[in-house]
Amino acid sequence: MSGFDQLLILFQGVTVWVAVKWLMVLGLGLYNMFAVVVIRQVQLMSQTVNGGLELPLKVLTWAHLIVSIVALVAAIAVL
Amino acid sequence: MGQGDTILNKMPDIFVAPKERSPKEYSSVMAERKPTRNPLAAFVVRPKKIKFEIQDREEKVLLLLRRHWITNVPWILGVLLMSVAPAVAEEVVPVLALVPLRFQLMMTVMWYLLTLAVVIEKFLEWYFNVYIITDERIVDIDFYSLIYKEISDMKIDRIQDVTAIQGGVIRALFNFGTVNIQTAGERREFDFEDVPRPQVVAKFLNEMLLEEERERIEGRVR
Repeated sequence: MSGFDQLLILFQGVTVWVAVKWLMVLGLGLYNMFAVVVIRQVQLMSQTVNGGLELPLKVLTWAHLIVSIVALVAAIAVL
Repeated sequence: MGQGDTILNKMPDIFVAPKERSPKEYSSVMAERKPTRNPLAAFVVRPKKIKFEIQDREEKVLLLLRRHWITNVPWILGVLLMSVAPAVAEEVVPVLALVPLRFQLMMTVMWYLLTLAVVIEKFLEWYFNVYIITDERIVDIDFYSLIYKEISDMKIDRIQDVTAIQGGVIRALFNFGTVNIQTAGERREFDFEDVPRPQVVAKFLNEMLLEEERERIEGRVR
């Protein structure tokens, strides 16, 4: 049996929705990375200009990261 | 106390250094306005909590400017449209009805996360891209992307020309426009774009220029 045949057997039973699921998980994973970058972005921006909203922005960005992590976990669990 | 102390007290002053004048003394713009407390304001007078990266220890921020809030309306409208899009998605794209419910739910969650990302990025862009006028210089802070920021500054006494430009119905209605500042430095022009009350900003810069000239004459240059 060739390697290609073995690969075909491996993918047997994998439906389109499984592929869609892992694509969505990948998208959410990228979004999580974006959420981490936003936290760093706010830190750097606040170092450059400190305007008085630093604490609320920090809380907002961390909450955003938590929400995106929850969405990623939900996608893996629910889909 | 000895005789020497009494002689010293009676000696005349040869030179009394002129006191530094407060902004309210030399600027009608500062005198007419109370310090701004709203952290989301676009025209912030004598802010107490504002500090920036290249600020000198004794330097005071007198005016902080952002783009007028009306410039945010286009993206706010876009975000509102994005918010209602999931509600009408099935009417617009009927094939979505064939998608399993759990996938529909997750797609909705991802859509709203994308909307949230747009809101965050647009707000940060508006909030942190500022123009600052201190008692010594003008500062333009621009964040072009996550990894690129530009901070330009110019001493007030190197300003050669200040022009307030306000054109169009929306700008006239909401009183915002561009303040164009010609300088004698390496960067020849500063543009404070879409700031509130551009005429007031131009007037304030002219008052600062006069005060800088006065400081130079009186020998109070820092």
